[in-house]
Amino acid sequence: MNRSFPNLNDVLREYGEVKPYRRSNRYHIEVDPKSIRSIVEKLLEVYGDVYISTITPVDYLKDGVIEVNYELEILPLNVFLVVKTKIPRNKAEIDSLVDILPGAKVLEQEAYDLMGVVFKGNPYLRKPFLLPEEMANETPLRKDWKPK
Amino acid sequence: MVTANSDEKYVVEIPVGPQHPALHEPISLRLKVEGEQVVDAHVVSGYNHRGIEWLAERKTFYQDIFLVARTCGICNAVHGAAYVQAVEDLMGIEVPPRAKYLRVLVMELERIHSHMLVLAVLAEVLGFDTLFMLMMRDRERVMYLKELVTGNRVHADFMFIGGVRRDLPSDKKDKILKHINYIEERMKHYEKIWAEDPIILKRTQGVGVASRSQALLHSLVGPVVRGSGVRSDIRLIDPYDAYDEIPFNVVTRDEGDTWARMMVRIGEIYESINMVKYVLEHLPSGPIIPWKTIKAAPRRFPVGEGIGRVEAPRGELLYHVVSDGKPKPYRVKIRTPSLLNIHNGVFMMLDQYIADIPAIFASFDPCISCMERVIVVDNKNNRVLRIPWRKLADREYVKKIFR
Repeated sequence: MNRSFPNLNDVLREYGEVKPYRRSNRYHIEVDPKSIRSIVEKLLEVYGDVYISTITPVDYLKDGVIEVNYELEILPLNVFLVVKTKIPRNKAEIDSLVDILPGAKVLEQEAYDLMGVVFKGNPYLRKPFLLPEEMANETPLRKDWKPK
Repeated sequence: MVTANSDEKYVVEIPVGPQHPALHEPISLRLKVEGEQVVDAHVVSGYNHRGIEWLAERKTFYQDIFLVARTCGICNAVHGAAYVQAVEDLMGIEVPPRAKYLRVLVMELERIHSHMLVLAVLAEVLGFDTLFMLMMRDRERVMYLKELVTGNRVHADFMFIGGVRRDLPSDKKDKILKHINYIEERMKHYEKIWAEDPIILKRTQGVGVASRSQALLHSLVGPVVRGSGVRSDIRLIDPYDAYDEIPFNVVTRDEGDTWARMMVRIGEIYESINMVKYVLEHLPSGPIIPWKTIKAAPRRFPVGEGIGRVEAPRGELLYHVVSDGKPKPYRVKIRTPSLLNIHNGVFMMLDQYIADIPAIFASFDPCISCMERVIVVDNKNNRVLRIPWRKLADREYVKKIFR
């Protein structure tokens, strides 16, 4: 490695605390949903080679929230970072990353189709994307969904 | 091909798929072409959505090992490995060394036959039918080896939480080595064809180029991103199982074109062959699960989450398992490499010729289908015409439309 890169904790200090997972090179951080764009922009600016691995929305019916996990790989550090945000279930909206990280396009489409999370600013969202035509208005991965 | 008058620009939309006898998965590719050049492309998927993530929330952690393996027929062992890695991460289980090595053995055999399959399919797409048949014949030996090790030719069902389900008797080592040496010998022949044949070079070099930054920004993974010069391999950057003990090289190329992606795959077959040999030489002794019997595996699962990442033949495969302490997982997220490679990789098709699209698409390692009808989009008058394929053969009819 020719360049030395700043510590992940220092870079993300203003957003929250970076906590380790059980495995050595995996971390997670819990942030406000409004700051997701600025975090990704900052990671891209500081480290450059960052790609988005997946977006995992998890529906917590009891708490009335959907946890949206952005799973990013920071290649120069060999670090896998999960950025966790919580958005309300009944108003599941979050800013889209598609203009700064085009790889997020299909992941946002998938999350919108199966979980009903609206990514504001993504022009490609459509329903049905993976589901069959007759399920166009349904979000099967939400916990209150029942098969008909 | 229908040509438009020079002052009128017709954009013709060609739906490719979702059914085609030669290629095997239902997906549709919508190409907008001007003359012979593609100006826009997008993928329509969802013809065969099976709802595995939903189903996984309704089966127990143990049943899910066999469910998730059914996500993909070709790389079923890596699906199982990624899922059990996520559950082991959740529970904090340490896998015995022998089981780690056996997992690597099966996953590398799977990589060899998967890469041989796509090399064969691309050869067929380029018109090399004999090469296709020869490669499929030799691939069958790898399938046989997989059967020898796991008991099944296709669906291995080899992985288990904490270890593997079947031990490898010591007398099978020589047999595996015999076949793997044969594959290595044959691969030298195929590599020569792929590296030197003038037709293959003309059809693949400089076709479907993705630069390094484009490949990263579009989250492309596996041989596709390594063909664009990115050293991104989960075996290297987030080592799992025994990959931190087994020596191997990450094969990359800088060209970023269809040819580079195929040469990366050929290089990876050699690396996998060496890894299989290394595993057979250095297979540790000991148990294959951390418990006395498979029935003694724990029935209680802690609250929390686990992440499993493996390098599937097509790229990064990720499982995110969330548990709320019940015998069934609360959420299982499956991130397959092909979803990103196919959907996000279509930018490589822009400005390419229609004839090259099958080669580019096959180099992502998915499928393509035949044209059934065309849609004519008349941008000037803002109308869309759907023309049956048969009518296109009628020259008078075509003349009338494009007048």
